[in-house]
Amino acid sequence: MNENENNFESLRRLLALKRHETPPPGYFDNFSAEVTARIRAGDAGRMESASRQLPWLFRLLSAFEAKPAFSGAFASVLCMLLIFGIVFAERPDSTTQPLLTPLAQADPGGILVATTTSPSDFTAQPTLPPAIIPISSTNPVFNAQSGSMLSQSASMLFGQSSATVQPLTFPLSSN
Amino acid sequence: MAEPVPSSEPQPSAPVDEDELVRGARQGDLKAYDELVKRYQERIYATLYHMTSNHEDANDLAQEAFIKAFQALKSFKGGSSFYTWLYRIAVNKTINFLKQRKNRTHMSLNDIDFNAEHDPDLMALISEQTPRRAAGLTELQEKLNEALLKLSEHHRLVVVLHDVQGLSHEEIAKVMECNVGTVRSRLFYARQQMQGFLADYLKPT
Repeated sequence: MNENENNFESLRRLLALKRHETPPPGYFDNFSAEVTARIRAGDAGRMESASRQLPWLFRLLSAFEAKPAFSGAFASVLCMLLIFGIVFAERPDSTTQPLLTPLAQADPGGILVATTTSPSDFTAQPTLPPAIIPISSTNPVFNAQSGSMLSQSASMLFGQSSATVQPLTFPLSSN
Repeated sequence: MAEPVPSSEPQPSAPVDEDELVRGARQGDLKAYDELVKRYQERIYATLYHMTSNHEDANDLAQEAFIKAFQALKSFKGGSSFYTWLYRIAVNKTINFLKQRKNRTHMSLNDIDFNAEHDPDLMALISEQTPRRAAGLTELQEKLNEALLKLSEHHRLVVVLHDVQGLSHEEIAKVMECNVGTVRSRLFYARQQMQGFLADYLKPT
């Protein structure tokens, strides 16, 4: 290793010349100031571009900074909404019942079919006993008692006679 | 063994101050970071200048390195010294820059300071070839920078950090994230190449 180092001694002396290469006088006087100015400008630029993309969010955040009480009130409202949502979600009947009841009352003894069209075949069936109201789901299912007629309608709709029809009813008591 | 080179490591007199400055800068205190920049600006700039042989490139890269370091301060865990960490950022940035630039090198060399003309070692190298000292130094400076630019980025970096900046093998290994053996072998290979490039300007010892 010593021999190697000695072999490179001239080179090392020559490389010492690099240490004498210095930047213009006064170059470092403003260097740190330029760095910090660029950091500030970069931060400001990022904030500005973000505020251009989401102006409402920045208005909201600035309102929170200006009035801490406002942020507390906003958080309380969010909590209330969350609690209300959880409580409301735990009562599934409360959402389905009011939606179906007016239709059932409007035509007791008939069936309700979920469809985007309203063909004349899918009308109320007055022969059904009034105690049970068959109500369809959102799938196009048919009343078991008038299945043959509805099967024809289905074949007309889908253009093939082999379409299978699954009868399904939801008995609901009508008071 | 090698002639002892003055180490460019920060003096151990104020390690606490540096920790405080780093803590402050991490919390967004630009005054603290300004102090850190002042502390290391010359060494970082010098390393990048010797890597690029271009004052303007070194200036831009040094500023960008300090800016990037500030933005990344939250990821600085303190596993190594702030100085080593900063050096690593600056060096990686410069190597990426040089790889993108590839062979489109343009030298923009700084002037040689007055003290060089009074360096007996340098004068001994040029006295036989050039009768006018100033001209000789300028020519030698150009040839030296050209030779450095012929090296690969990693070999150049080892030569710059060790033979110009005076970092130890261990410090260079930390900066380059490799082992000391790799540093030694790269240094040996780079010096051999440099010696070949500069054979006309080197006197046998």
